[in-house]
Amino acid sequence: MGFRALRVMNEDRIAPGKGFGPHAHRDMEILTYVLEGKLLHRDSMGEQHVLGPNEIQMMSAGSGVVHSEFNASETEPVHVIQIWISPQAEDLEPSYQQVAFAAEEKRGRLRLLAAPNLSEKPMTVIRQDARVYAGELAVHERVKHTFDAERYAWVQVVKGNVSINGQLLSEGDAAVVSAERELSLIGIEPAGGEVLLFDLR
Amino acid sequence: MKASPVNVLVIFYSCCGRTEKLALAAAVGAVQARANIRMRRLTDSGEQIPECKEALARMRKEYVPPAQTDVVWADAVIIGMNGKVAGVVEDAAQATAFGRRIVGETRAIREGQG
Repeated sequence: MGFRALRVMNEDRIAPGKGFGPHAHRDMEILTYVLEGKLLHRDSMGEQHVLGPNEIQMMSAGSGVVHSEFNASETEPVHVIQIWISPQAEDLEPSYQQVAFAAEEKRGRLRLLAAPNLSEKPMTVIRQDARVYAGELAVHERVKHTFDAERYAWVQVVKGNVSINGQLLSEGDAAVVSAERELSLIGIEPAGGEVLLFDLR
Repeated sequence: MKASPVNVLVIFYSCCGRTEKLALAAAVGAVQARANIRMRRLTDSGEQIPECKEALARMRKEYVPPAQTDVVWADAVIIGMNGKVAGVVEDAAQATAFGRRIVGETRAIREGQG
């Protein structure tokens, strides 16, 4: 897969106590977004963290990182979305960022999670010309996103049902957007939905 | 022209996480050199070390031991274990014997089952 700088959009459900043993990444900006449950992260930089809902993790692999990811719970499953975005340059210094936000910050609006420069705190810095948002929409709730010229978007529906410029999408669906200057996202019955929006060059 | 990446198998023996940390550093070094890596932990012999209980439980869960497919896959192997485990603490001949044993046994596995 590849759309602009977006390389991988992966959804995983990890059983209690299970996970992915130590493996390597290089030259990739890796975002992890937990929908349900808790994910335990450990890496060769010495970072060890538990990631839950309403948090964003950005592991910038750069010149090389080895990490493991396990369900932090022995009883509850974890449901996670992982996104790979190509960095602007190779061999960058590896780094780890994790920020939490209040659940209401994404309700009825698009909450910025990652951008090339810190513009809203707390958020993560991504080493690519990309802006990543999360938005949760109740039924009939609407949010708009406008684009600068020559921008593209990938909209991933991660929960429920959302219409995007009149097209109905359900959990697991995505819309690829080009040649649009405005997106209108609306929560649809029975329970609205949640999206991740990637504004890309 | 880009050279095709080298496959590096990192095998280590660790009960408290110290050798694991070194193995991780070696693996990251290999990745920096644009190699592919696999990390495999040798199964311990059921050690019970009270002060390392957590690290031991974690490593037993996170890693798998090397398999034949790992050895066949590897272009290079990095081995990490402390000198006592390797049996190389007394003299240089032990280190040489250890190295030769690794090469011989790995070859036997490859030829015997490959």
